[in-house]
Amino acid sequence: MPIFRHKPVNNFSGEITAELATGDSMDVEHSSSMSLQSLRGLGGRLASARVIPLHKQDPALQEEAQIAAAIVQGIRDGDTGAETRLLERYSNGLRFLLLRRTHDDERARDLLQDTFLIAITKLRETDLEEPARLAGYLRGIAIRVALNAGRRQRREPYPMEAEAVAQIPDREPRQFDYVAREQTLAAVHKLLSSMPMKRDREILTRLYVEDQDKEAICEALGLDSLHFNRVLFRAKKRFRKILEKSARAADLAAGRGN
Amino acid sequence: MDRNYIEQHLLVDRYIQGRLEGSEQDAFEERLVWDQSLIDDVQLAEHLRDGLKGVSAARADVADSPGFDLVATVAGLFAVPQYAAAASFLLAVTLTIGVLTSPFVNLGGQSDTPALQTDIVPLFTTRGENAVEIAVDPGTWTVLLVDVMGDYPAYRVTVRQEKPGGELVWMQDGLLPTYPESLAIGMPGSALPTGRYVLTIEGDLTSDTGETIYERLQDIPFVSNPAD
Repeated sequence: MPIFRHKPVNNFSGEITAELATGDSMDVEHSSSMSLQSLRGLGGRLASARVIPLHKQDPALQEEAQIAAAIVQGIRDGDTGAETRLLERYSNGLRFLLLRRTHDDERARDLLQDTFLIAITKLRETDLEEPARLAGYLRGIAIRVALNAGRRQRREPYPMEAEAVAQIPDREPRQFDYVAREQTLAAVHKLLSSMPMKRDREILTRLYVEDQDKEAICEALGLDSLHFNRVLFRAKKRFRKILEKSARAADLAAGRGN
Repeated sequence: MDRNYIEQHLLVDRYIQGRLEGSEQDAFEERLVWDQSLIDDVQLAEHLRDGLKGVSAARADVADSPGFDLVATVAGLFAVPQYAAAASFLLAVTLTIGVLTSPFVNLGGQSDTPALQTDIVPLFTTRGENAVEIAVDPGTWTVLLVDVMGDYPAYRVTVRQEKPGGELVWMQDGLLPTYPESLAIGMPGSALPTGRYVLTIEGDLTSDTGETIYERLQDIPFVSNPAD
């Protein structure tokens, strides 16, 4: 009989995650069903809990937590290499968020620099409460910087040299950066052509063109949630392949690839 | 935020719709800060949304075009009993999508911009040596309506001159069977100067891996005559 430890985790859905301590020889399906069965027998306290086996948790999250903690500690210890790693790891994402708020590439670049100036100053001087959530900390600074810039407030001078963030790496080009509108339209047409069910095509139209939410679409079309997700997943997978192929061809034509 | 949670709750789509709020948005954007693949997913969904909106807008533009005589076109279709029931549907969907937004290859060097005045011509399969005769105005856009067989997600249509080594004058792929067993193939009348042609319909057997294979379904000979 496996032994269970119960560890509430806020995973943003209000669910309780039960951590399962199993023997090495227990297979995945067995451990999942056993854990659920056993939890239901715990006097009803966890009767509505959904068991999320740890082996299915996202390994990238754990990796990010470790990297973030190391960067935070490194900056606190005066390691300039850690500051470089901070810029390398988070500049693309922060620039993406800032661009969505400013719709101006130059402005986003300036705000990104301000964000890193503030962040590095703070990280050098103070201990971060949750080092593993460095990304959340940086996002918070970026949002405040963007808000302040939007309100046209005067910026306070930063007590550090700007050279520290002068080495923000250029954004690495991504696979869909050079997709032209014509390519997108052609890819969408090909996608629609590959979907024989009118109802499946209508799901996409309602979701993306009419901005309806999933519940409304499922109700209107008499669909269950799983079918909706399946159609959307397959459509995106197909669309990605079509667009990747198109983007590769465009890159080759423009001499961006080989 | 766990990647499985993001996928199960459609957070990428809700994010680009502006439907995420509070802690859900905070956690999603926190992941965006370090997860480049999530940024790719957001950009992909935006491309899909923009493309679908573009296709939808193209439909609306055509339907609203001042030169698009909806009444006359519907009346013309009603003259052909077998298409009467499908007329409105064909006009609203097939014509606009199939003609105007299909990626097509115009080998005749004609303009890609369709003429606003459009002639719709049913093209029937005939037996023996007979070929359907159609009247084509080179100054207008011609839509050939054909029956198709089989259950394919999409079709490709080619038109060649009917002679040995006949020149390919038109090709259009990605056509949707938007009404049972019917397709609308749009092309400028100028691509069909007087002569004999063969229209070939092929079914698109695009596989899950994206490889496209065409299966030949039928050849329909026809004769293009100048319109009065």
